[in-house]
Amino acid sequence: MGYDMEEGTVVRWLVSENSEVKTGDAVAEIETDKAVVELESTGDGLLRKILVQEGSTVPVGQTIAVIAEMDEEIPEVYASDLITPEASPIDSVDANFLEIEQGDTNSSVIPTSSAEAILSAEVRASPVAKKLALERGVDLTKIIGTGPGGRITKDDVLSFEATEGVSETLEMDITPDSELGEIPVNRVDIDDVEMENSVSLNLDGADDRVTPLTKMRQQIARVTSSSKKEKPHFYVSAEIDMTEALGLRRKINSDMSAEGIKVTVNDMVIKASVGALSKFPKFNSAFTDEGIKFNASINIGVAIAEEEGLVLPAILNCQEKSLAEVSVASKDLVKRSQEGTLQSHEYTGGTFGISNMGMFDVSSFVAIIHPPNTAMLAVGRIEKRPVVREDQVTVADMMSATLSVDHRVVDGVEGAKFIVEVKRLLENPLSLLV
Amino acid sequence: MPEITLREALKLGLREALDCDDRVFIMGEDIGLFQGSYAVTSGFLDDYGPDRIKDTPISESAIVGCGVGAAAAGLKPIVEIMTINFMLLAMDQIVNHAAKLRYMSDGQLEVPLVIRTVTGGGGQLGATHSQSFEGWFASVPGLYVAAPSDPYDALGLLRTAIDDNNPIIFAEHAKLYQVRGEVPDEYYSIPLGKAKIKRAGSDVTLVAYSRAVHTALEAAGLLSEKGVEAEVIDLRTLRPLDMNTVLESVRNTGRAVVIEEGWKTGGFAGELVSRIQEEAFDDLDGPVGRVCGLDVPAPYSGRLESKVFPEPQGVVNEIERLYGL
Amino acid sequence: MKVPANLGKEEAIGLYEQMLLIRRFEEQSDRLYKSGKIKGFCHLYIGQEAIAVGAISSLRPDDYIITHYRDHGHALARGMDPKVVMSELMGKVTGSSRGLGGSMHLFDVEKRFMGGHAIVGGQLPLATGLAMAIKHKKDDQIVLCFFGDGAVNEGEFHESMNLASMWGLPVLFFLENNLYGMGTHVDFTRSGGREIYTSADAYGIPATQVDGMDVLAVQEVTRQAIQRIRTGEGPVFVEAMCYRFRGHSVQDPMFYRDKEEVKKWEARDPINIFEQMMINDGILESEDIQEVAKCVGQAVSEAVDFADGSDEPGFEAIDQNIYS
Repeated sequence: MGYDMEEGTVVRWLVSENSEVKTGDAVAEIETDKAVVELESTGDGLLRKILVQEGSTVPVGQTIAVIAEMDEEIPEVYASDLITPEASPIDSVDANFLEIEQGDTNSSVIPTSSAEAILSAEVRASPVAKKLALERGVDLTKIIGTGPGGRITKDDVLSFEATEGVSETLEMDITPDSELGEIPVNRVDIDDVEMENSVSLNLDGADDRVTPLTKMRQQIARVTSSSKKEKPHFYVSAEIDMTEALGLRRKINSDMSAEGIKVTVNDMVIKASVGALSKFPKFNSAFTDEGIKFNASINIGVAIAEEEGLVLPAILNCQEKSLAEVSVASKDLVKRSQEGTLQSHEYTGGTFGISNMGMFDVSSFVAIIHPPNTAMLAVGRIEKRPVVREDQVTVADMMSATLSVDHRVVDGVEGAKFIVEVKRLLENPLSLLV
Repeated sequence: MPEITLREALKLGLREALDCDDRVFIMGEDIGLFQGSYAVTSGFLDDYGPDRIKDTPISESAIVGCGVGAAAAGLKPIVEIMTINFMLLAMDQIVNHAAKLRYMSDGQLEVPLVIRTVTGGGGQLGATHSQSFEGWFASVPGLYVAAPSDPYDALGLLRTAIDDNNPIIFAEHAKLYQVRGEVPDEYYSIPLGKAKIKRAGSDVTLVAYSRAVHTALEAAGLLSEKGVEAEVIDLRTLRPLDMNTVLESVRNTGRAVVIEEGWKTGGFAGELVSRIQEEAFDDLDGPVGRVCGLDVPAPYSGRLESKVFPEPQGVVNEIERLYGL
Repeated sequence: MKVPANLGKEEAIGLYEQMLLIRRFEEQSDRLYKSGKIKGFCHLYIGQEAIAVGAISSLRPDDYIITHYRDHGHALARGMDPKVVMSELMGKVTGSSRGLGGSMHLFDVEKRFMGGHAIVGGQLPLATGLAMAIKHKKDDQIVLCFFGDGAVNEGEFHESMNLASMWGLPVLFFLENNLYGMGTHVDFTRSGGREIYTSADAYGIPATQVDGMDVLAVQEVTRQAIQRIRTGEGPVFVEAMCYRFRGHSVQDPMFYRDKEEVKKWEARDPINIFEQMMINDGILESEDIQEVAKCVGQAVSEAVDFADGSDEPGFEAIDQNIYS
């Protein structure tokens, strides 16, 4: 599931034994280092046998259930009692065996990783918070603890209860549009979720005390440092004139408001990136010891700052999506990320990352590539700047974008070509609609 | 209601007992002619004579043992051990005898003995004269331990202690004798094992006794400025121990910090922390904390000594550390 | 010591019977300990019977006795029922403390027997307190306080001697010098020599030494001491020289002394000495001796049967009487 995940915990079986399941049906909730995610069936048939009890933590690759036809013979070893986590995994048998899998992209090569074992995510909550959560049916995994060391306190549970649904409210509060460059920094937009959370996070650590690392912090530390260690990063930047893109966005949002479509700048950046990736598929690949693995689908990972830290869930199959569909998918992604209902392959399936700090007063920044991706695009805010157009100084809505690239996969010239393509698409935004 | 000092409250209680009960007498080092090293018995020798106010040799084991024997033979001795540090010289009589006679004789003997002593530090008296051992005594079945924090409690508890038929260590903090408070003219007494809520609050429970109650109250004031309302509980007696009041408060606040002047290691605060987590675990919103005396012999230097005993700001800091409040 | 002219037969039988009762009781205790019916520590009084009997027989019923952990002899000499004492040794509900005290902690407050106390020297300060209460009430009882040679190097001994003398308290400090504090001879523990009673001089307490193997001598010295104390002249110190025929406790293999020494002292067995004196002086006949032996044997046997047949205490006793 997680690319450097080594074990997972079966939180809950969603399907009972001898129930019919289809490919893609959620059959169990698996707790990973990041969240509780739904495990989908990889085949059709009956869930003949559950092999791992709820609450058990098992290594990646262990068979946890058997899905087979009613009359299909399943090996005796599986027909016996539940397997305890200590039991060794069994490799191949002639039925569909649900496994906790590593990676979930449409690829045949499993990324190698020497990352250390990740403990199953444990909820760090005070006794009274746990009691309260139990009494009120609150899912503690969805709460970000504000106590020392990230402990979920009683107040956290109570305020979570009181403010549940705030993320939806945020979306509905979106101001339809406004004059460019006059967007107040504190204006709430879908893209702001990241910003707001980041602000509160950055306030932490103002004094010199030491707070223990949360699981997520540990994970982020591991991922970013291994990325920087393994991937020789290089960077290329471009200044993108967003004047036309913003004009188009205004028009789309005005025309399609009835349908509930509200395209953000970020949606356009995603769409432009998809276009560039289609043209330069190396940027949609992963470096492996066996070779460069090209991903069949374009799954754009979108950086979302949750209170506890950064996540990069992906909008899957972007190559098939229109701008409007990207927009819908992007909103859905943020919403479900906040709810904690993203599925494991959404967390891990990204093939290219975008980090947008457009809502901050940030002109440009560089991102660390999210492994095993090859590149990551970092975009800053749009601001009115004087530009020279046909020898005339004029004012344009400019945006800086910086691409971080894994030099093992591509070289500088290719990087330049890629970002120029992104720039071209955004400066000629009608192409995004094609 | 008249406002008097804790010392005056004790004098009232002692005089009352001497006046009302012929079986009561006081003995101890320098309680008579010297007028009491902390002046609690000043004037008593003149008023009650040497048969009731007995100056003793510096002989703690004999003083306490004599008290135990006299109590076993039907008197109601009030023994003064000049400071709790000197109680170590009488440990055998306190722990092996006073606390055991009733049990080992299956109730044939009883020991209605009050051992008054002075506890605590803060007077730059150095390592041997600045200790707080009341917690040790509280661990002994057969003993009671009272440690009042204000004049009202001092008188109310002393009356009960003298009336009671069990040996009781009555620990008076050296720094509290001048504390003033209202004490009614009408007779009242305070049962052993009934804690008092000195300040109501719903965010965190501060549990203390003796001088630490004042530390807790000051800390509560500082916390209030931060918007944190602390409930301050004065245990008043360490044994019997009123856990009900403590637990009721902790169940409400979900947070508790125990403040004790004695050392942290093996101290009475640890006992309270254990009991709180044993009985109120599911109501806790964080770890139960302790702010105790530093684990060092008390230094003489005033500069150093100021770091040894619990301070209000230390309580505030600990609450922030534990709960982020 | 010569037999006093006024010693009657009845009194002689009384002394003899008490000493023999202690002897037989302790021999039985030894057997019961070795058979596992008595547990914990068991310190036998065999060899020192003349002291308990001689001293305690000199008391009034309202005088106090307080003693050390080798207390079975004192308890029986004070008239505690052997059944009750044996039951306590066996930890039975019928014991003097319902089995809560044990062998070292016998109490009978009605008989003013204020306890065996098992911390060496610990009973001495208590004795001053009992005496102080007497003085406070302006009564004329005395406190007979037994202790061993092991206690005299404890601070509590010196503190108590000082306090009692300072305050003129009615205490008879009665040292049973059996020469050994557990396994260490007094020669190795006391700097001032074997005559410990001289240490009372330091506190201005009149003191004397007596042959602790001679019940009549002990009785006489005690009577004189008590007479002085009762007149309000303050404490008196008596040192009775004696010997513990058995080990410190039943478990003691006695590595620290040779058998010759024990034999030498056994030749001065206080019961035999008294028996010979009584027969020689014609106060008692051998029939009397046999009759006493029979009675004592029966009493001990009944005590054992009683204790053996008694129940162990109910669990309700476990936390009763910690507080009033």
